[in-house]
Amino acid sequence: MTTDAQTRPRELYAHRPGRATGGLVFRVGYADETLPTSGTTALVVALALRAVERPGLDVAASVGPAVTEVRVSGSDDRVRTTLRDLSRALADLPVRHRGTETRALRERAADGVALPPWRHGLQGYGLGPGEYTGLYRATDEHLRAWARERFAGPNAVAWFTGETAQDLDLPLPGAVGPAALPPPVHGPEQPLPADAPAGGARVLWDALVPDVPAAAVLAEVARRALFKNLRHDRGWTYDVSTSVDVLDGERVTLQIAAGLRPETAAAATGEFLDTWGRLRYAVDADELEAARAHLLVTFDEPHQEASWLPDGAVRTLLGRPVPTPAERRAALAAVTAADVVSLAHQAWDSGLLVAPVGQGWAGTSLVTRGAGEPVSGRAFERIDADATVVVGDAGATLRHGRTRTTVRFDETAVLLAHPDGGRLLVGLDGAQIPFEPTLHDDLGGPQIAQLVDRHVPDELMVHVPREAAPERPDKDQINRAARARADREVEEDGILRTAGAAAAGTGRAALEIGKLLVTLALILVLLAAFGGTFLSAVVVLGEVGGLLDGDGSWRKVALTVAAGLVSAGVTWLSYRAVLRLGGVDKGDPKND
Amino acid sequence: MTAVPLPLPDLSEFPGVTLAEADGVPVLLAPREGNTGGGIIFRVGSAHETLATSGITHLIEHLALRDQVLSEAHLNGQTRADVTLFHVGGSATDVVTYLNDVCSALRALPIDLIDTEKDILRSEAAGKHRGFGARLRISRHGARGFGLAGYGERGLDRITTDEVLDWAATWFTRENAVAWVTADSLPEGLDLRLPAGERMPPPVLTDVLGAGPAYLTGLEDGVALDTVVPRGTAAGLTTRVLREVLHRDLRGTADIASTIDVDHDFLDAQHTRLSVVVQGAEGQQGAAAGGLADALSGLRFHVTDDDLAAARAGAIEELTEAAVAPAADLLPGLAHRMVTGRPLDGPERMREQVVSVTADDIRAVAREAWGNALWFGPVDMDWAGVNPAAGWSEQRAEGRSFALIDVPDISLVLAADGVGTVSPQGAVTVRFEDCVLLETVPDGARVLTGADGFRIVIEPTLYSRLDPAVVAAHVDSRVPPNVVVHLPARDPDDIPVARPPAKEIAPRVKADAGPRSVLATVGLVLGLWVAGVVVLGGGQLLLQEAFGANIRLGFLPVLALGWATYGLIKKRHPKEGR
Repeated sequence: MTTDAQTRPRELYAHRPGRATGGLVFRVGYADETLPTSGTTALVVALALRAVERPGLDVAASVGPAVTEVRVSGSDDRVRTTLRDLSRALADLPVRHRGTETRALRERAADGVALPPWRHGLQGYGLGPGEYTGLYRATDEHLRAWARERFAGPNAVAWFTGETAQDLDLPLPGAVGPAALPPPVHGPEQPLPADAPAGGARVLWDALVPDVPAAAVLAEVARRALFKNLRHDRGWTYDVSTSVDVLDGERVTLQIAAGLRPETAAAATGEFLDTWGRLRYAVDADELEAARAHLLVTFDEPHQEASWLPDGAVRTLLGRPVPTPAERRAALAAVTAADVVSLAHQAWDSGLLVAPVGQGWAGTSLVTRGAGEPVSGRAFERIDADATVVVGDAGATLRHGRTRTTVRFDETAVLLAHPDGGRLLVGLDGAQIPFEPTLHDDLGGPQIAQLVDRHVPDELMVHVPREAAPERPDKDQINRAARARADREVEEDGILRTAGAAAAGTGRAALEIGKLLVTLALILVLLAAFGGTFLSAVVVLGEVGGLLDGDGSWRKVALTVAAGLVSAGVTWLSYRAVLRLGGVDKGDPKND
Repeated sequence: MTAVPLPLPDLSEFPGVTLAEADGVPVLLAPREGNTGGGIIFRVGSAHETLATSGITHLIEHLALRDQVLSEAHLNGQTRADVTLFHVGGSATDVVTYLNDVCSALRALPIDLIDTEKDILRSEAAGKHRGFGARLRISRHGARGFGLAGYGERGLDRITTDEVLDWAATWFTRENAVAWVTADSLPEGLDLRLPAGERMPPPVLTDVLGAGPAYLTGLEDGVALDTVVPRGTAAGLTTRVLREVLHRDLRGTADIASTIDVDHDFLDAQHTRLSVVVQGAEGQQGAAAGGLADALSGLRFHVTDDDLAAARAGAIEELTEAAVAPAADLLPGLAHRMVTGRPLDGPERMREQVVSVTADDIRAVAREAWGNALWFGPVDMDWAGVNPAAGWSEQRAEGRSFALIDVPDISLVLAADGVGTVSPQGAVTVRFEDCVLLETVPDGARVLTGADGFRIVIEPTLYSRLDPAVVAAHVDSRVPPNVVVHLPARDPDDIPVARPPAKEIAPRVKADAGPRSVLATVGLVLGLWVAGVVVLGGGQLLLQEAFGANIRLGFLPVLALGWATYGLIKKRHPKEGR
């Protein structure tokens, strides 16, 4: 066992009468994961909560980018025992309900809008919220090890507000190393602002700005301006919302959003951008003061220390100074219009726009993914679309129509492997290249394993079950894809390639005519042989009848039968030949 | 100022709370540290509306807040099923300004902004999804009272300015309101002048479910239960006991539920709604339904001491918190209880009531809960002695009938006193006099909703020989004009198109429908052979007799007949038919 000093988290207390609240904050978040381990933190928390849950218990948890929080309220005793049991569960994680809790996490994540990957790629701060790919790979031992390592005492801060300070008993796992610093932020590599097609029914502006007091003021100024223009005056939206969330302690994520309704979605999006964009040039004194007054109201509440305690715990963990409530108030009071305008500028210049209708609203272009230098290697045409997958030693490039998406093997986030042989190669920037045996004529499962799997380290491979591989396209679709391919090639490559294609076409035409002639000849043979067979049969039957009457000849019968059999054989062979040449398929060979 | 006509409530069990009166509105007072809070609550909610006026209370709430929503204070308004409330937190001046503004707006609504506010309400509705709860509400209460929560605000498209003014003058009155301010005395300048009126009753508790437990099917994720029990402390404790049992049986010892929600809310002086939602773990949805049925069914006969003790402890913990909480924190809850006419029992008396509830009382509530239950789960519940909820009207419309083109078995009936659809399984009827909403569109489609929640959708394009003008002429004049909503024209793509049974299939269906019995085939084959032998044999004989020609056919006639037989059988019994 480790000593107390190594396991005990720092503890914060503030006095507040009435219902007690308490919490544990850990310096671990989804940004500490990788795509093949994503979801580990969330699952550890869910399993630990499952161990302490009881009817009517008021407990909540959240996994943020760099910080995980658990919060509980109730009687002093209830809060104390819950935090104690939670600590125990983290030190010795019960994994009995892993299956159920994993599914519950996935279900809850299903309807969220995942924006972080568009900013940070599928790594670090981009793995949030609701990214649970790694849970396909997680083992009990991995989960327990993650809990012991990341939820260790020195990596945590506990806080409690109530009538009197409590002697908290928090048997968290012992430390294995020094407290972790927040992971570095991967900067966006494309020009911003940009459009991020993350989905959802709201228009959303997402920005990354320094953690300064002006951020909260800007968020409130923007909310009020949008509320007035979009909702109050026009009725185009109901829910305008803004949020400021801790990222890594130095920066915050500022989000500004408004719900849309189909009839006015385009108009509302335009007005949203005009209203919000205006703030980077001018903020009236009136709107600044209204926003500031609104924010300062909360400072008039009693027990300020208790209200700010959870935030203080987060700042302590992230190694940031913790201002007193009075300092916070003074900082808000000191924010000037110029501060807000300048911050709005930064928010605009670091913005990602999610707009459900249209594109390029703010002169923005789509966030690019997979834009690296295309690789060279073996090419495999897709049969379902005008697309080609090129796989080399360095990586893979998917050409789809005229767009090329490249994922280099040394920048792989994950390789998803399906039991049917399908693979999905996912780059750190979020680009995806599928390899599906059913969508290629010349690329089978073993070949994919040979070309792709061996370039990807084991720890980046995640086996994902699925019910069925994509269906092999039907003939029409294959033909359409081939035509699209030919059309594009003619357009793209001009006359040179066209001449070559024409030559190839002539050759193909000659071959086709040859086939046609042979087929015609074979049909004649077929008819003759069939006639022969039929005639022989008739003669034989007649002769047999004659024999019964007593005046036939056995020799004649024998000869006719032999001739009939030969004719029948020729009929059969020529029939098969005609079928082959005529291209009458007898259905696809059913997947061998 | 007029006197408060209602008897003054006894607030002796809430030390620190005093009652004052401003412009005829009772105002609860208790001082508070920090910011001042205040609010006003009215005994009018969405369940007081009709389907044709649904949304009118919410619209008035929005109009009343129009001037205040942009203020610096922390404020909001809320329209619930049973009450409408406005509340604010901020400086004492903020509170006075807010309450004065809300009352002033209620006296003289900004009616020129009705259209903008209707748009905001439509935007709000666009972001809301009515889930399984809607179906439960409609199935229990029909299209009235608490059942209206299952519909959107469908009246918005027809509510007139006069109706809005009239509704505000009738329901948002000083007698129908209770206000509160967290101060030790009435603040200076408070102006709560409101029109005179009367304290309104609770929404009518409608029930279209009939006697005995019933179930609905089709909820994929788990099971939901909605039931009505007698109001009282025992109902609250039963909720807690059920929560204990469910957590233990479905999550503690087993892995059946991924979430469990057990709740109860006040309906009227005699009734409380008890609702349970259990989301099943993967593949355990059926087990979740069974588990909930077992748990509730079991409580009718046996309540363990541990469960009862845990339930009591939870209730007492909450009451203890309330007892030590600042008096000002209790004001919104007290105002709600006052305006809805509930007893004002203090924490001490409520604790006594909690302690006095026995296992017998819990069992009695569980029996009521079981008997009035409406279940909504993945599959049927006949095994638990529960009957399917009514899917068909009792009455069948009689009149002109038009067949549905897609499924000719189903037809639309235009009767003298209503409209209905009739299918071999049953009939759905909406009588004109029971029609609570008629929605019309210019292309001629009509939707009629009956008070019992049944709906008839008339899409003229889907019925054979049905002229939209005929529908309009038949329906529009017979329905009370104040329940008619004229909706704007639809996108032509939204008008449904009939897909009659495909043409190439039709003849084959006819051929297949012909006699195909094996017996008939055997008869036909026999006939064929007899005819063949007669014709061929007779022909040969005839030739021989008449012309002396001897033709050698050998086995050929037999072969020909065999081939004909094969052909006949193949035609009458095609491969897919055999």
